[in-house]
Amino acid sequence: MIRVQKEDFSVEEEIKKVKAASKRIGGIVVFLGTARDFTEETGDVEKLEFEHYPGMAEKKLEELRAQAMERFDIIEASIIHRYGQIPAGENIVLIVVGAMHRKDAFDACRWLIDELKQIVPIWKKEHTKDGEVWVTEHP
Amino acid sequence: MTMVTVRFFAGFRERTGTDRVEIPFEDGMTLTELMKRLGKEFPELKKAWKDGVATVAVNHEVMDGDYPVKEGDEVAIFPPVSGG
Repeated sequence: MIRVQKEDFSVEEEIKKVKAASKRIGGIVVFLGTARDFTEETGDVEKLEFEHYPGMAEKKLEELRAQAMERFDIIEASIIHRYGQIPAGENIVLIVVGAMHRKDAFDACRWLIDELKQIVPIWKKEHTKDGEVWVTEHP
Repeated sequence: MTMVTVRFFAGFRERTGTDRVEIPFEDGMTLTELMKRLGKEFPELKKAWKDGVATVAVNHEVMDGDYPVKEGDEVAIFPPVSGG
């Protein structure tokens, strides 16, 4: 399951959904990306803003999820990314992966967030007290 | 005359001051040619394309410059992604 949405999500609810996929699941790994109030390049950040390419962003997330299901021995995976303005401290992105064993869940979760940052058409802008700047690198 | 819609996102949308333009469709026109045409109106896009920091997608898939544009294609031009 993948979603791109403006509103916040419940980490607990999303874990529940992955857990409900199968009782074969023995390990769930969660990556939660949150909005930092500081970056090395920009300094103090008040809020982030995300823009996405509707249609393509969802398509790429769906493809990544399908690829992860193929590449790793996992049972279920979900990816949720928010768009719009996100104040420092709030949730940005959630990846939940359920597998029989923890190694596959860890590997798939890491792979998914790394790939997401490389290929999914979503862009981040940092808002500071002095103005705003698009972030173009993906460390 | 048939037109091709080109959409801009993020920094490119802001720098060009628009989120889409219409380009007259020509049979056999490649993405490279389309970018050349756009570059006349938007020199910043031309530079980004030359510097390799502009991605071009057609119908939600990233394509090379030699892709021949077809009628009804949705072309999108955007800077390196930075989600997550």
